[in-house]
Amino acid sequence: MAGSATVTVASPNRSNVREVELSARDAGALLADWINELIGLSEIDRMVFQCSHADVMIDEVGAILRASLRGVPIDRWVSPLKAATYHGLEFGMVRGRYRARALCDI
Amino acid sequence: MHRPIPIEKDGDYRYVVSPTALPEMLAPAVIYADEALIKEFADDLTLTQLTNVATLPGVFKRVCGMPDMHQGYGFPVGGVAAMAMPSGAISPGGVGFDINCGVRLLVAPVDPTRLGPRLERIVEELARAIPAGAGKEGGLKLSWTDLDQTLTSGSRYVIEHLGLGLEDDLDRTESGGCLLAADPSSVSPRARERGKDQLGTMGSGNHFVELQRVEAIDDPEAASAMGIEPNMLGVLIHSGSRGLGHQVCTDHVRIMDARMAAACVTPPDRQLSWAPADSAVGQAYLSAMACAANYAWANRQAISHAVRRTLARLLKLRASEIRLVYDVAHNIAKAEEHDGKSLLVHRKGATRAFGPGHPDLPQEYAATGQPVLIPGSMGTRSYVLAGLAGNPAFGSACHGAGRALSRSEAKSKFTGSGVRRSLTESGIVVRCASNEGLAEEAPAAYKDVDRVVDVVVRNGMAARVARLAPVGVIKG
Repeated sequence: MAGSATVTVASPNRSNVREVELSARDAGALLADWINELIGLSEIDRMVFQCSHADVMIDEVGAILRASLRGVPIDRWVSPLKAATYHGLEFGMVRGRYRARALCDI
Repeated sequence: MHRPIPIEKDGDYRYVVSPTALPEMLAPAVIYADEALIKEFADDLTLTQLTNVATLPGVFKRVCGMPDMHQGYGFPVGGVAAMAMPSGAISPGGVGFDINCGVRLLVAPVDPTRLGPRLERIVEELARAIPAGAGKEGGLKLSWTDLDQTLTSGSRYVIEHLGLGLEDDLDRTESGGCLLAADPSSVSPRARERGKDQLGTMGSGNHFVELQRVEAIDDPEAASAMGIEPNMLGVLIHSGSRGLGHQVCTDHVRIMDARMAAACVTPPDRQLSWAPADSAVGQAYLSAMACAANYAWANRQAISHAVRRTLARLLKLRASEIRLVYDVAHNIAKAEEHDGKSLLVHRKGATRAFGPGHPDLPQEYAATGQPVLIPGSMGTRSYVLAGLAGNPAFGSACHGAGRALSRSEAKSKFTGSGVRRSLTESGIVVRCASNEGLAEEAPAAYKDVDRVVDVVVRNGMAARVARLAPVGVIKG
């Protein structure tokens, strides 16, 4: 499967910006990596992140994501999400639309 | 994929899936259950996951399902598999995300029925002393050097260098609270960052600190050796390796998934990715897993220290009067010898249960066997068992009651306020910041712990020593 997507949201606050680059063997693994990146960063930095820009490239040999995140500081990290798993991981096209599933450990 | 699993009854409390049932299986799957418990495995992926484990290279003799088994990610919770060393499979999914999640029991010479209104204050003060919930708030502030030493030496480091316990605690901790294969350089910077400020915190989900009353003694001699007497106050602590352990699992599942893809090998479930234990990839995981296991032992030790300080102050006890009975891991892979073979035993949601005379037990438990701690749910009794020689499941037993309902099912059936009211009406003092968390952990979301323990006992895995009833619950 090949494809790409670009998403732009709002303008970043430079002081809380994180640049992320991830590569994975396929789109499913990239999805899990992306969720895990957000969980890890949020827990360590005590911020909730908004993705201000993301480039995703998927082809037969792998998948790459480059994203800019803007963090909003929070007093206490209360999300129950601990990790995205590879169990039941799905990423594919269904009737012309992307369908993705990642189960998270809570 | 949910596929029908042909299962045969093989005794009153044992069921078997033959290795000929599915072409990929290398060994039979043995499930320890009664007629009611076995039906609970029928509607989800639990049995499929157990049979998937039986496809892993090097699997020795059989894979085992404990009576509290339920569906997990890749490897069922309550699953045990022993792999022939040196090159059998190691699978991070067979250990789980919360590496060395485990339980410890402390006992104090205080009758909880005589605490009266002081019980409420004790629970309140314990809740204040032990940070709970997701994230890193409230943990000990370790230097990077302290963190590395904790990853290397586990409980010993935090007792000897940070003053978080008593020397005797080490003897009463599985593996002395330290796996020797730990090398902090095998732990990723992300995992280290997640763990740096979380030591001494309980975490969320099903983690807890519970106050218990010793309700009944089943084996007076064994109970006496463990320092347990009727009507004593017990403190059960359930926690693990926090964000650090989750990150170690995440990092190494990813590495093994990529390794398998490069070798054109497709595991039955990507979370069950594996590597030969003696490969560089396998060794790197085992080293990082040992670090996370050591962190978890140190974490429960730090929580115990907070418990001891609080109880000593409020109940006018010496810290040494609050005795650690034992600390057991229930998410771990360990090198052990069984049937004269060197094996790597994966226990995911299963407790080690070594019998009398096993060389890994401290002298004081040589005659009784290893204490095996089985928490029920927060409204039901918990058990202290003792391991038996001749255990049929590679020296293993169950790890709790086991979930009967998923967290979302539990939330749809119960309300946190209802659970809180019901526990309070039963005389149990509850502290939990999240009503949602209480609903997820409702006692009725779990299997019947009495039934689960009965199956363990009838299969000769462990023997009953004492029963505990909850009087106070602090949930993460």
